[in-house]
Amino acid sequence: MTTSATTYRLSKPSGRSKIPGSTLTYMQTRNRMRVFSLVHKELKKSGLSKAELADRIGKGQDRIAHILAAPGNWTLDTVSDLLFAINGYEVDYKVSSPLDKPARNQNVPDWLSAPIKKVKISDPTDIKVNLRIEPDKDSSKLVFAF
Amino acid sequence: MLTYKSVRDALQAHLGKTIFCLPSLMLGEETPRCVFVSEEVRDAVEGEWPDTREGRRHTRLRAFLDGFTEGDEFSLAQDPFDKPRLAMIARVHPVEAEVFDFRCLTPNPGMRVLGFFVEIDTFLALTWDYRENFEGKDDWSEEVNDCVTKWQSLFGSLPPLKGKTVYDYISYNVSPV
Repeated sequence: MTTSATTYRLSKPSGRSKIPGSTLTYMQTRNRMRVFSLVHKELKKSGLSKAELADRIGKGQDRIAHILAAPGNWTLDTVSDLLFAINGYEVDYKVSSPLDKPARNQNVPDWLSAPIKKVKISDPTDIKVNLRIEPDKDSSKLVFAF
Repeated sequence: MLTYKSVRDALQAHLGKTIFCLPSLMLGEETPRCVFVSEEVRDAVEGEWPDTREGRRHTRLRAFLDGFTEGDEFSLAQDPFDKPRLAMIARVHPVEAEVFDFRCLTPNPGMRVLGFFVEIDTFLALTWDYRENFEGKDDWSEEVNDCVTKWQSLFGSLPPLKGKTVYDYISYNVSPV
């Protein structure tokens, strides 16, 4: 039984084989999402407000809010403007090749794949639980602490 | 219908049968978040789509969901009646239903995926449609009801994740809008 919806992965380009258009589209969207994340990360780090950023770029706050809501219409110029306005940054271009990394065997989160631990207790009288009951300072309730 | 002690138990029971994990197509990377999909959504994002307009729309939707899985930045609007047009995730009216709309906006008019957060950073996508099929509708009650019915068929009376702030749904790389 497979728990994963995906049975294939993108393949690395080789020779003169035409890359499927869908692969290029996938990578374009991925690139937009990545640069969108980068700009937001730097904006948060800078402590700059959206209003201040709007002033620096010379656009209205509504326009900046619109731009920062999604990367759909971003161009390289958009990225350049935003990063420079945030803190005088420019993009530090690097490349990586995620398809060269080995495929993961695990496609579900740990909490779903981890087996439930069963503990065998030979003598139930051996079980000891430390239970402390004390009044909560902020309310009239009792607090049970293990 | 079987009853489950928790959403996790139910998810585990349905996994590989009616619910599937959707790993990023870039399988070599760590994925800090998780997307589960119904068969319906799986069929919309799985496979190699042709290089047509429709194919590009489905491919972008897959990349959009993979972006979530891989921990990319998302804007999230909790108020269905006060949100920017470009919000990437938005809660749908009525908010009590906790149905969220993943809004893949490009190429315009985009595609929509509806579902629930089952845990923080974990989304279950149950239904989808092209954005143009929502045009002219005053509300999405039909779509929300469909989504809720599907949830109940899987999880019974167990509730989806209910949060107060956007950080209760997505722990990091999220902007409230």
